[in-house]
Amino acid sequence: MTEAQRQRFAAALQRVAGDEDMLVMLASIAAEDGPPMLKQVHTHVESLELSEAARVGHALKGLLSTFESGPPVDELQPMIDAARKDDGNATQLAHASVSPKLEQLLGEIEELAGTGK
Amino acid sequence: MAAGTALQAPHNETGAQSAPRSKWSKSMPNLLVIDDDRTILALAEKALAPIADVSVAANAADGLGLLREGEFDAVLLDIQLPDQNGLAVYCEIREHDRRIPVIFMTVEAASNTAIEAMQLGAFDYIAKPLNVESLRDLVEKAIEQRQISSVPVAISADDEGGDQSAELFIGRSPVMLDVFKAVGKVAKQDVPILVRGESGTGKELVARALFQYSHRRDETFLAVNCAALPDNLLESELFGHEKGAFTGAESRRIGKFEQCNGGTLFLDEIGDMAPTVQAKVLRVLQEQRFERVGGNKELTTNVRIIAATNRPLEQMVEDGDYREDLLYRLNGVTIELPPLRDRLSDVPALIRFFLAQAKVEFNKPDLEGLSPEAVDLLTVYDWPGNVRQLRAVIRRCVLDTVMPVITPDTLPDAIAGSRHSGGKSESDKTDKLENEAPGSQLPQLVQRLLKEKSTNVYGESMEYMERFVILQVLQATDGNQSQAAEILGITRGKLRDRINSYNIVLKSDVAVES
Repeated sequence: MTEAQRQRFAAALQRVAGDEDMLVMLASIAAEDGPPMLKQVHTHVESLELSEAARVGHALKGLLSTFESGPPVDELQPMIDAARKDDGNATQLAHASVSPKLEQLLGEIEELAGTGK
Repeated sequence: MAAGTALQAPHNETGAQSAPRSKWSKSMPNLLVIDDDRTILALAEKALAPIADVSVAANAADGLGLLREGEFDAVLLDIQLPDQNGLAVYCEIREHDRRIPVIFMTVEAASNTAIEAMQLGAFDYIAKPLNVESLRDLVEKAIEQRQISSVPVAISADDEGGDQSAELFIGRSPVMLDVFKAVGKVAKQDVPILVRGESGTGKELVARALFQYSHRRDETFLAVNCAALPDNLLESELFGHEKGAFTGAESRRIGKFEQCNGGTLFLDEIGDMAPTVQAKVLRVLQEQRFERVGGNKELTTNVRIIAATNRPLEQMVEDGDYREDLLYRLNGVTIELPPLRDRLSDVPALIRFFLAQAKVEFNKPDLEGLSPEAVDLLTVYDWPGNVRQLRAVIRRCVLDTVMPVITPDTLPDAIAGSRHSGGKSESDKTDKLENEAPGSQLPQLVQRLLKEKSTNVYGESMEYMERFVILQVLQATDGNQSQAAEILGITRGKLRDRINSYNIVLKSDVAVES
């Protein structure tokens, strides 16, 4: 891990008791599972399959929270809540706002996973 | 790994010789983790490997399959699984083995589901993202609980509870056998009876037993706590009043002596009665006659009086605070109830009784009983609050426990304390602060009692306040007890009683020490 990554993921590193190898291993799993989940969220939101959007959104939130428990991961919650309430407009708005930030986070996680290779 | 695939953590095939051993006595405990998030499964496998053999499953079906095939000491379970709700999975786990502690994992720790899980009897829940150290601690605790609760119970919760009055007849200690004999001897004799004993020893139960075994058992039984009412209200409660007898007496009221004609009246805390009421009670005892407050008409009644007190009536007579003739009328027959510390051999039987009652009342069908260690601690404690305190402790334990067996960890600190305490106790520190600023420690006291899982928060807080108020008034009156009693609105006898029970020392230079 680089010094910048240690700083970026300081809270996550603390949660795994400072075990960098473990965090990198978790990153490699999240780097595999995260992008298809985010894609599924896009698809479900676009086609207004809101209960599915909420379910996958919730799972994505769980997956990414290992690395970041604040924004943008916690910003998934308004989208999940709106989808659970069957509010298509609010779901799409929340999704549009959070989506690019999640893509950026996934990029950072992918980089973190790469340090173990 | 794709979702839905069951993973088994690698087990050591070479057997026990090279298998890692945990701090527990048997070989490595087995842990099952069910979650569809692969990072959680990987984290659990790696982080928990030093303390358990970890098996993982990515969905409910695989998890339940593994559970049925193996023997697990604890389960970590995600609340939201792809194929089944975590709560439903929990119910299936309980059906399979209700002793397995289940820890829920959830991204939404404050959710209703988490609360519902705890209500269903989950061992605990942990919020995601998981913190490795917290997770390890919690899993260790769950495994430990599993192992402790696998020990056969010392006291089973499945014995017959019986009705509440049966509580009196529990115990075979010589002192209690004397009480049973006394009840049997005097129940059918129509004489007043004085029941004496510390608070919480069950004086009202003796009164009820005397009533149930008397010729009056088909008539009314009424109980009045004389200490619970101000003097004027107590007089009206006992003897009734006429319309207009005092401000607010808008209609005639029938008192307990009239209401209970032909029956039995239990007068609890008989030592806390003003002289005017004492005189009227004496007249009823002598002549069975009285008048309503504000009335002239003499009424007759046929009431058997059973009185109870924990006050030193003889001393009160000497001090002029209690009528001697009333004392002699009351104590023709006296039944002394021993404090629980003098009959500790009865504690297991009482525990059994209260446990069975609480199990039914709080709907805990899975509760099996108390571990031998818990019973040991309960049978050496000195029970200052007597049987009432024991009952409250057992009820609290039944409410608090999420495991089938109540272990020492569930007991209040005051009872389990000797195992944990070291160095200066919190109450020592409180005492020091109390001396520096009297009366200021009430919030801390309440917090401490809550933390210690006390079952007497009200009683101890009220005692603290009462002691503070009495000290302040005694200081304001330079130790003059008559003046202090008047200001406080209590009898001198009651004040003297409190001065003794709170160890308040009145120094000759009128400073008040405690």
